[in-house]
Amino acid sequence: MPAAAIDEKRGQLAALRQLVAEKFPVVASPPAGRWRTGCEALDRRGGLARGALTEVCGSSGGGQLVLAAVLEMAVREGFFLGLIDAADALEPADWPEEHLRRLLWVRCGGSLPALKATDILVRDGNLPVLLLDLQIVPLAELRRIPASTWHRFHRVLEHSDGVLLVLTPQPLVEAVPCRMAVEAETARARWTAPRKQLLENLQVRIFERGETAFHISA
Amino acid sequence: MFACLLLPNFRLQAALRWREAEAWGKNASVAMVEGGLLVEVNARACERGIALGMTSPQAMARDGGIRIFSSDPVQEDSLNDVLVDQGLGLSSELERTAAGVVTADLRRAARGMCWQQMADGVVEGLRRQALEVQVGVAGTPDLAHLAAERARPSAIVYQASAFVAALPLEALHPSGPLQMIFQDWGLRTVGDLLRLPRGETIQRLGAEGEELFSRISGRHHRPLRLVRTAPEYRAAFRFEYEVATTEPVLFLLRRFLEELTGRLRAVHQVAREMELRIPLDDETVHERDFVIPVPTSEVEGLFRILFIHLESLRLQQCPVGVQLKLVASDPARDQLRLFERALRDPHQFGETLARLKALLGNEQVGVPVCRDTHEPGQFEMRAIFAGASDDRLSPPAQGLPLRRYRPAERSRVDVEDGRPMVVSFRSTAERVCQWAGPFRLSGQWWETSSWAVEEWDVGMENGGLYRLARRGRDWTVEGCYDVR
Repeated sequence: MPAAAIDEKRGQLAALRQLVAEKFPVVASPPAGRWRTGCEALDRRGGLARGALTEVCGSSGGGQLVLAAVLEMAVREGFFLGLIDAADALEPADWPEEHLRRLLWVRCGGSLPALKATDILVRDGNLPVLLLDLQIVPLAELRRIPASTWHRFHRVLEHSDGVLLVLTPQPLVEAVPCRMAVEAETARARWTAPRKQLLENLQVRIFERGETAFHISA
Repeated sequence: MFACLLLPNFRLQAALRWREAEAWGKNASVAMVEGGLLVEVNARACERGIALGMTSPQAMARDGGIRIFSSDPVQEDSLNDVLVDQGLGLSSELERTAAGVVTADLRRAARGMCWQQMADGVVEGLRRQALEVQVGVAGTPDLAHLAAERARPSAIVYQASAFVAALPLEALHPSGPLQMIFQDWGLRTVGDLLRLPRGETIQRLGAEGEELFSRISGRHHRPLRLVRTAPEYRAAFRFEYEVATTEPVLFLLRRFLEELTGRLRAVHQVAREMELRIPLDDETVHERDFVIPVPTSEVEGLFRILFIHLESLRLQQCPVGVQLKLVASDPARDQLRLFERALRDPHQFGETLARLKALLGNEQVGVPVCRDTHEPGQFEMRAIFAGASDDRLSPPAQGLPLRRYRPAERSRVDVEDGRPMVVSFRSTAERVCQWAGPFRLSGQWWETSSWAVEEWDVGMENGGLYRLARRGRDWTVEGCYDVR
């Protein structure tokens, strides 16, 4: 598509958004602010968007480092984090005790119970940050998740100031306001590097709604 | 002064608890049977000519509608706790004198205290819980006990000598031989006994006679065996039949909660845990413990948690009873720390946890805690907020965290020069291009459950990072650090 046509489409989209915001101010409520994680790469656009769903896709090691960053934030800010673990794969021995004390671990045996558990926790609204980990769930299973599930989460979240991070192996979530592609260092020399350093070197590409779509190969 | 609180027909009252709604109503004859004989009967049964010591058929011959119960130790313990709780409201120096009897030392009570008003308060407090109590107040523990046995429903003994003089000798429960001696001497009341010369009479009656005289003297203050254990907040009920629906269980649980939280509030405490036990028809017990995110004594919040659990509960057998215990704590002790963000709606969160546990199972939701072992993959789940105030810091983490496959995936590993070269699992084979290891771990070698494992971290040509484990000759892929 030529650049002029793309610009024209973007203009039309912006006008449409403005029209919706004027007619339905409740539906198009402004974002509830951002939550800085302390990880420079994740905070490049101001931090995690509150009252919104954020998809984190890419390598599974990158996803684990995002969890590490959010847990560090939970320790610092004094809140509890909900981890909905679709593959029941967390290894507690690999996490510092102070991180585990801040973690409500919900162990699920597949994506379906994980989505149900997420629905319950999102509607509850007591935990400010939820992380749904779908990263090592088979892709075939993830592709069966209906788009309406994500829309439902969007609707619930936009009336709260909670954060829902969805870790996926590939872009999967429909109409997501913010998508992050993450990649961790895996060179042999870095296998025993302090996790803090790995977080500092985490590669993150952030795409927010309205920007050019992207694709990460499987 | 001492106050004695006595629950008449204690075992019968325990058996009849929570049965106010039963169809046979309050006016039925009721009896407690033990060893085939009636040991307690209510007033209605007495009116119908049913007496203690009769057999069940004899009682039924006199009243066909009589309800006969057998002793229920769990409910009796629970009722004893209620009584102890009530007694502790009068004095911290309390003795559990017998089943259904407590004695409180009121010598440190405020001066000018109205004993009658205090006794009426106790009677009213227990009447609200559908319990009948007799309260005796006197100058010694023994006299208070005697007064409680005669009280209808309360008796205050200001003149000890006048009170004991009017008592029949049977009220002192003398042994059979002593009772025979009293009959031979023509003594009927305690006053008759007191008119005899004390020294000579004790010489004739022996040690039991001396003990009797000291009890009725009004001057003997025996030391109380004080209750030192914290009272338990529990209630139980056993159905006469199996129940097939949740309604009766829920009805009882609400009643239990109303009573138990009332007791908690009376001592300024809150519930931090609930323990639910449902005995089943096949003599197994369904057990579930609930940790309350923010301890409370509010009935509604606690009931919602139980309701959500029962709503989704599927049992193999019908329940034949229900037991509930609240674990009490100081309200301040279990609050979050000063700079922690309090939950917006703790009760809602309690319900949410109950929903998650109903959906996924009790062990699937909580805070992970590593076990004190080097064996890989060992951890346990604890309730959220349990130990949240621990501030110890562990050493900084290194490397990428593992995602563990549960269960581990069996694999075939080709080994060269003592290290893995090709790993085949999930129907693919990948060449190892980076590795670290072996990391050899073992433990429990002194027991039959000994274990030994050799672990390797390997990087594949496709970019994936995995952990391999070898136990004997078997290789497994334990988990992944990074998969693209």
